[in-house]
Amino acid sequence: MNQPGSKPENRLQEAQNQLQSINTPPGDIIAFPTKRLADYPPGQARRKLQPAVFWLLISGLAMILFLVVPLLALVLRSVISGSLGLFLTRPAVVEALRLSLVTTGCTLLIAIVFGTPLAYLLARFRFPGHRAIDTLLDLPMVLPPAVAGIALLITFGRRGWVGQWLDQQFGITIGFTSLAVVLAQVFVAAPFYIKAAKAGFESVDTNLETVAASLGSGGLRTFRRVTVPLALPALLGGMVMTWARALGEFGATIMFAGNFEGTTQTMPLAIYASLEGSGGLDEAVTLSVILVVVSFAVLILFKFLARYSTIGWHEDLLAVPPSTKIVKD
Amino acid sequence: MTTLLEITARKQLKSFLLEVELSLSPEEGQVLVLFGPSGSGKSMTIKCLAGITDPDAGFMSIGGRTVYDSRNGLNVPLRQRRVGYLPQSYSLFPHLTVTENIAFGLFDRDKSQAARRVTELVGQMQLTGLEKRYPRQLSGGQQQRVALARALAPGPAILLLDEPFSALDAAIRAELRQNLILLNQSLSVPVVFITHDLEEAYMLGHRLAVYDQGKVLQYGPREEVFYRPATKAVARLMGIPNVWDGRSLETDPDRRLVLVRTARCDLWVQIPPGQPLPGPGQPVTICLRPERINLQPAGQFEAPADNPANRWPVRLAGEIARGSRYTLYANFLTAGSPDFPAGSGPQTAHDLELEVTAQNYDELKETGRQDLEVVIKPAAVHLIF
Repeated sequence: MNQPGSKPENRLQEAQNQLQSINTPPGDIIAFPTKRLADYPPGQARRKLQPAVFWLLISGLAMILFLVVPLLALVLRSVISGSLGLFLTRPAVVEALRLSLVTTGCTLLIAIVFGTPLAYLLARFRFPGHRAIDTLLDLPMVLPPAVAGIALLITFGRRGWVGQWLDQQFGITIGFTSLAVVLAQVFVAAPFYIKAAKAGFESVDTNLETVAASLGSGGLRTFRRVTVPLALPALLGGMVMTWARALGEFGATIMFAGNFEGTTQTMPLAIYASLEGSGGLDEAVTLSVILVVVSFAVLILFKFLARYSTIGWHEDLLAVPPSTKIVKD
Repeated sequence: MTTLLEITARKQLKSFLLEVELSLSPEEGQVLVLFGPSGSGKSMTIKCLAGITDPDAGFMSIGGRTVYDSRNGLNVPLRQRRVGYLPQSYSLFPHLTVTENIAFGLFDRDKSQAARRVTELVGQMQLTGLEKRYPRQLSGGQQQRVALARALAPGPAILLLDEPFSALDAAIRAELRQNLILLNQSLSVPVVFITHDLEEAYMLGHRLAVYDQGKVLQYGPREEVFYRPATKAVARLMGIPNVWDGRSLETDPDRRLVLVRTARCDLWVQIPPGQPLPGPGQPVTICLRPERINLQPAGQFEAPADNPANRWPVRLAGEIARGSRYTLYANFLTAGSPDFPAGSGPQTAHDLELEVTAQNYDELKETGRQDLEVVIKPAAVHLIF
């Protein structure tokens, strides 16, 4: 406070004079500000864009272009060739789309029904083999789909271990049916939901569940009213991942379920078939565009749901993040 | 109803064995504070009582209703124990509004009855106008009141509060503490409160259980625990700085006085009625609270004829200003007792820690502090033996 070169009593007088000029009664001065805020207009020492950030921008832009241009090309090509309406009415295309939507819907349902209890179990309890199961769930995600297809074939195929038994006992064959399509999709896609749901449940404070129980709430009610709503964004994220992975499933499906129009030929298989067969590139493009549109619509829907489910209580999702303005001099 | 609460529990934990025997009856007050350092088993006691975890063995009853008895295998689950459990930071449901939070435990009532109960609690907890808000839109004090309202809504037999203020800053802590005291006076629910803050323990508790390493070192009315700790460990936990070992020299049974020799001085101690006096030569420990020591200019004090007083000239060695009061460190000017060899006493830089009010301090300062003396009334000294 007492800087050399300025006498305290002088500074006190100075400060009092200043304060009197802005209509403040003298006498209760406790500090001596030497600089006035009014002398410092804003924006005079704004941070400049660093060269490093410039290169980040350039490389980021390259990546974005690489992702966007092929998609744009796809859409443009289908518009230019005018084939969209032409193929949309073809029964094979309609069948493929219907089959894809039905099978991925079933896959999603199975993943939710059987995956949710497992995810909760893994999130809340530690038991022998916990880590082994966790690693096992990663396996289908890193496994090449063709390998998954072979594995399913030797298990559920007509000569497979389980498949043979089912065939002999009940006369049920799984291989090369729509059920096989669903099984192939569940095998490769369900872990995405289970992993996401596990992370979602883990993020819910166990104290909340304890408090709910202390208020007399049963386990199922607590799960429905507390755990699920709080984990919902994560659950929805997992659902989208699983659904998208199932929609794009190709390798395991073609190995295990085959490529039969109307029963196992889903959209990706139909694209492949049209490219190889009669339809040619135009049909392949049209099918791809349909797939892009459907995927995009579902993605938007889930994003909206995830956001809508937390409107009100979770403001972070509602608030617009403060824009970081980059000024380049 | 004979007791509000009974806890007899044993549980083997990783680092120690938890052994607790506590009971609370209505005439003893309705707030039981579990006080002790972090990780001494307080939280585990509450978790056992709530039924969040199970003890290895024991018996627990809440309001006369047995909720756990290991001898006949009784173990009422958490959701049927009727406990209002408030963990640290309250754990309000972030996705529910104030009304929905409070109504959470009323799901088995019919709608109009539940709505009436919520309205009643909203009024009682001064939450009117905040019904539609979400927890993150509330202040700390409002969150606390919502949490209490939510816990009270289904009519719990007991409230269990696990360090509810530990994560908060000092100003809001004081406010919430005050709220809770006032609120508790208007409620008729027994409360078990956990804290490691001594001031908080004293302000809130009617009875104090002092924990250390899984054991209850002392359990009794707060004044008794605070001013008459049963052991040196409790004295240390109660923040008593002046704890001196010594032995009794002579006793005066008529006036209930004991003369105790310590490494620093000989001093008279008065034993409260109803308690035994130590025998001559018996090892004892002196406990002297800093605020029970009078500091004054030398020669002002006149000893009453019928009662001896302990008085010694001292020199101040240091001071800490605490706003409304001062902590002072003093050394005796007289030599230590010949019976105790040098270095046998506590290894501290000063002999005595005492506390004076700011007013007292200013008065002493005016007189000049060259010749000061301390006067300690025999009744102000507590003796452990």
